[in-house]
Amino acid sequence: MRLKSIQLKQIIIGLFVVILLATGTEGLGRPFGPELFCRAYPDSPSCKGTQLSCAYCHQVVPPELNPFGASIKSEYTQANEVFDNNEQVFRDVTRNLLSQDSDSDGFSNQLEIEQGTLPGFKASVPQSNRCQSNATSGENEYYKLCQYDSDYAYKKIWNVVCGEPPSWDEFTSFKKLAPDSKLVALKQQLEKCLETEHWIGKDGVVWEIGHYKIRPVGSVKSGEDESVIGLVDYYDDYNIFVYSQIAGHDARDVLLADYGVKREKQSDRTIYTRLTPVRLDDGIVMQPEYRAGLLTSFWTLGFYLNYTAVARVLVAQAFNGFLGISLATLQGLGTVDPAESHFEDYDDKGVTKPQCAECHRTIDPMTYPFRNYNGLTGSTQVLAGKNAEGLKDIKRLGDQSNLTPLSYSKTRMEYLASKYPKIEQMPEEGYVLGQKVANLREWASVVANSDQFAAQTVKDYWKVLMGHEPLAYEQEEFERAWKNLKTVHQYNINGMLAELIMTEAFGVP
Amino acid sequence: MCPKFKQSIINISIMIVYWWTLSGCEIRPKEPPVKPNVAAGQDLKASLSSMNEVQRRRSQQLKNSLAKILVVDKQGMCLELGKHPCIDQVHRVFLGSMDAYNASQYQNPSSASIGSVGALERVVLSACIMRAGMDLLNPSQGVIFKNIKTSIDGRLVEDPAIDESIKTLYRRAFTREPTSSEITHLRNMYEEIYKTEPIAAGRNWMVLSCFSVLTSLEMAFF
Repeated sequence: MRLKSIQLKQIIIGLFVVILLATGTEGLGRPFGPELFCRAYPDSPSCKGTQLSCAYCHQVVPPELNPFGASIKSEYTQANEVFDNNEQVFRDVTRNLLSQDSDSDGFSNQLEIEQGTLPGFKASVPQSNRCQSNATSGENEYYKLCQYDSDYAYKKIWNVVCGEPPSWDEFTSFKKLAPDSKLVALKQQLEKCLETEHWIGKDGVVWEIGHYKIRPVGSVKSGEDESVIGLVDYYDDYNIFVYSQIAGHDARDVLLADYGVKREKQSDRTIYTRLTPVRLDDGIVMQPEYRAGLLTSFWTLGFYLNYTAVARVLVAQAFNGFLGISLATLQGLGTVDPAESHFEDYDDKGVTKPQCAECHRTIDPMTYPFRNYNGLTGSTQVLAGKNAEGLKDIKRLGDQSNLTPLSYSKTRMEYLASKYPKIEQMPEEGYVLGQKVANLREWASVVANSDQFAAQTVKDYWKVLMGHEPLAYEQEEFERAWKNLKTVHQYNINGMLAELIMTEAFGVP
Repeated sequence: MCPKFKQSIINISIMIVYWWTLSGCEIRPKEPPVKPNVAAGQDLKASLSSMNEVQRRRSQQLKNSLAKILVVDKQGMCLELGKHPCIDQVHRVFLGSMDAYNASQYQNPSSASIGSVGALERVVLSACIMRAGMDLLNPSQGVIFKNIKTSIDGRLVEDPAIDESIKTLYRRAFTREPTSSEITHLRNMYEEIYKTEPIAAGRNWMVLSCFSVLTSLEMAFF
């Protein structure tokens, strides 16, 4: 136990050199715009399983409008209407625009809205199913063009999931099967490939999907594959992530797990084992009852929360990694009544200034549930022996009333109040995706059960299997897949993959 | 007949027989070399796909594929300075994969870069050299170039094993039979190799046959 305390101290000392990431966005935009558009055009693929990007109406950096946004503004001016959150007015005003082609790309705004492309960017154009628009089809010795080709799908499963081509014998045996038997064999082959090191091993396909969610920094890696400055081991995060994605486990556990995962190699095979949640013994500092998967991992709290009082960077990273929503480009902004959310400038960053509040009145309430989650705040004092009596007693290590790094600490705000006088007033309840949540575990639950999470999860694998993001004419299959992930497959990734390999997007050459 | 002259005739005859024996029935360049009369893939009776969706074979897939096709060691098939794995470390990004830990690249590159072709060729050439070397050492156990015969100075000896090797290469690489033009191409390539350097032309043909097939578009994409 003493050893663990020492190790913890060493880790904390090391993390002092991790540079604080800070962001700040200033925007003059009107964040109700995306919600307004999606209420007016709910069937647009741009509004399903994701949140509309500001780029729909703006240039890359708002407030400058793109041609579509400019058209809307022009229509409002001509109609002598005020651009506010009135859905009916928006629908009436934009009706005239539907037949127009604002970005002169040859496709009407209506078609672009229906296809999920950007009506204000010339380079973003609808793509039609080339098998329907092009008469080329047929069958030859090698492929069945424009129809589901089991032989093609078989080789693709091998190449993508197993990471190698089938052998001549394997392929010729498959080719001899009857059509119905081939479909069964495809799923059997998928199951075999899902067990390969290429798929589940360290640095395998699933592991690499986790890269943009975890965003490792090799120069501070400790433990396995230790760098010169070994500070923190983010492989624990990968272990939890991969575990949640394989063997029929619940993919939501990436945000909900209260457990750690052990990874070991047994005769050339990587085994992931779920550990009983026992603080520190399972490699996690956070108290089990306050854990929320990767949101409260050593790496996330140490790197993304770090010494900051308000978890804006952490939330932005979580949105990017698990929902595919970039707060940095003003995606995912909604309208929460500041009176209800208790939006204030708790850490004296000026977020209530009008030009900042447009975005931060949505962003900041998303961070409030992280109120008592400590990154590295106070670790200097802990190391100096202040507030540190608990560290000498394992039973009090990380006690809620004790300011312990990487732990849930109710005294965190008291400590920060010396620097930010109003910070103690910051509530723990907040809002995420428009829903009120009492604490971080509720926050994680709302996010993990959202359409956006399911869609982003499927999109990760779609890109692996198909080699590209869902195209306009693949939206139907894509939407069905992420909806089925929530219902039919109960967040079992392997079940979802078995569905994906039967889609036209995968099996039609 | 003068004994000296007679002895000379005998010696010349012995030399001719010796030379003939050594050279066996090796493939010799014809004059002029036979050029294939079909464009590559012309006899590949495949319709064009409207979908036009192919995926790049990225670094790990390339490594696994080469290891399986050629039965060579994954880690040792190409080493920079004899030490650093070409695929996993040195050319990882060129070969289409991300370098998350060292370069903070968290997504695979969406397109090939200027060094991609060179990296692919280097890795494949290295693996093919290994395979050809092993098959030459033990022809009866050859994985690709099984029972290939070469003369004492390394020329290729005409044998059905040549066509069989080409067939094996295509089967293992693409799970299909080679077309007649593909066989012709590889056979004709030997003549070009022989004209450039007759010594060890057989070994060089094995390496370059492997190289040309495994750096083709059909291998780089799937």
